[in-house]
Amino acid sequence: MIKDAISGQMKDHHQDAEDLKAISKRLKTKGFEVLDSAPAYLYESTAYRVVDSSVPTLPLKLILKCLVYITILITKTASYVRKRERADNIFWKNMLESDLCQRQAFIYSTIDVMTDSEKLDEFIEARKKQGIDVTVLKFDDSNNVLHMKKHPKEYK
Amino acid sequence: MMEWMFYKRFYVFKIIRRTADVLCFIYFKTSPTATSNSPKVHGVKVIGNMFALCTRMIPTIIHHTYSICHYLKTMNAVSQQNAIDTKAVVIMYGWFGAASKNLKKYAELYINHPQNKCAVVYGTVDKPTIITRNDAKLAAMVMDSVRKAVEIIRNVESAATDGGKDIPVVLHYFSNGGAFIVENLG
Repeated sequence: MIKDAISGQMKDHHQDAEDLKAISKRLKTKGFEVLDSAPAYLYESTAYRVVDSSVPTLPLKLILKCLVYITILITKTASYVRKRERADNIFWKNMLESDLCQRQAFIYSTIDVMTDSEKLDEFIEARKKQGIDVTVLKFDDSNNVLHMKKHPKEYK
Repeated sequence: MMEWMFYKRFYVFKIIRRTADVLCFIYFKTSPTATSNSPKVHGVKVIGNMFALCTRMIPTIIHHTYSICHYLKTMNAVSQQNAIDTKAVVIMYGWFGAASKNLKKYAELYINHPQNKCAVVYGTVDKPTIITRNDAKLAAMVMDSVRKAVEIIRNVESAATDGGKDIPVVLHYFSNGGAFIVENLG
């Protein structure tokens, strides 16, 4: 019975690996990636800006900012003690070096408080240098993931 | 903006849980009934202890049930009624805290496209998974979407009579909530 269960699980793993390979191959050869307000560079100040723009009352704003500060301090200390690069930097590096797809479309906005458009511009330039076929749709009046709501025609 | 609203909700919930923990700790340490052995006081003590435990347990149970339910509700797959009409398969990962109804609006753009009708697999992971960057759960999400997409591709290709159907895959993702999932796909 245990043998059957193990062989069944092995088969599932094998099937999963095959499926993943099939999707990766299609993405690489004929696929397309659409990145809506992504990737967002994880600045420390972004969290504070988001608190500023989304919390109306001053006491709550201060409490949340303190919480954000403590969280950042803990993650910084943890990565220093473990002598590892911060997860945020690893994420950005992974996104920059991704070879998942050869065609990418970026949809973003300059007033987005979550996704820094200047950093995304740099990201796009880096992707172009890597030979990725890049399409850009840049707005200047829509917020994070609200581009379709503000500009339905262009989005479609 | 939407992402931060959910962050806020998550932190508020966490604060409630931690406050309940602290209140229980204070109750057990400072209760006047803690040192008494008389039967009447003992009854009060039992009720008090039960109340304190409920105060501590209920927010925890709700939190975990909430996370599990959100996780189970994740990936949805929408195919074309006539499989042969499918021009591409779209895998769509939502932003942090995105609800299915929000993503459905985007999915409909692909499903009802006049020239290129697509099948869409869409969903998002629960909020704690994104905050803690739980790789195991993110990878499980990726596999769930991949399995569903491959199933659709097989159906479409088996329905194709000319044998030349090789449909592409489109990856559409929103903000870092979606990018964290795609990082695991890569």
